[in-house]
Amino acid sequence: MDDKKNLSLEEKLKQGLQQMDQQLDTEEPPLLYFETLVREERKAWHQRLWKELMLLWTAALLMITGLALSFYFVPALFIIIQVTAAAVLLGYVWKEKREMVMINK
Amino acid sequence: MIMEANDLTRARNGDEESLARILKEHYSFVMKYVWKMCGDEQLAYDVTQDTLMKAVQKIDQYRGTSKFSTWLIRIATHTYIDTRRKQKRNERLEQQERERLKQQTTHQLPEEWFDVQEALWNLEEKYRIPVLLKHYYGFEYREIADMTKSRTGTVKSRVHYGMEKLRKELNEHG
Repeated sequence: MDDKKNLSLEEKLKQGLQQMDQQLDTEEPPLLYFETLVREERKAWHQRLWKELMLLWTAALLMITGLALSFYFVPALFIIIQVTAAAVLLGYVWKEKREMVMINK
Repeated sequence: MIMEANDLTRARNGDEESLARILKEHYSFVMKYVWKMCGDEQLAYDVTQDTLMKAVQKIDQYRGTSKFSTWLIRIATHTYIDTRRKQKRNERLEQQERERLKQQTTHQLPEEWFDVQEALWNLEEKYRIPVLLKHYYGFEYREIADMTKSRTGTVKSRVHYGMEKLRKELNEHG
């Protein structure tokens, strides 16, 4: 019923947009432009990935250093961090498992 | 067609020349899609440029389960929605651009078709994008929901209300 009602409007819309497609004047750049874009974007993307990886390693290194220091100088803090991390991890696993069970039901 | 498939395989394996060729082939298609969606030439250029850059970054994620053009449209739609969200572009500028386009195309297009385009651009974006994707590009509701980051039911109702609004507008001016 709804489809029938829309039919002529759909056709009008399609034809209007087809006309527009023909009228829109897009200047397509030469192949060299795309080759340069691909090369430069790939390079920039790899640099960005390396940067993020470096940041991740730095953060990990800092955390391990902090943990090592706390193990030797403030053992209580070390234990608190370990227990908290284990609790968070267990909580996360439990939540994921519960959601999975709910989806499979 | 076979050549495009070969280029795609090579592009996914890291061949830059093949990827450049494919992007060139699809440039006008993406550009015209975004232009129709937003009615703003400059914004269409910017979004197309960003879409191509994302395609370069994510080409290894293209699995070939849909057409390459569909994959590009999905990226372009996400990019456009994100750009609009970030920029909160000045509506007045957009209106000026449409006026310019209107003057440029009024004498080139039959009035009936021009009314359709004008009515489409007058629609709110949340209706315009799904209507365009459904009734011009022929995507399924599910695919449009994925492209516009919304629920299938929401897309269905937006297409329905969008078409109703278009009908009203065209009847008023027709």
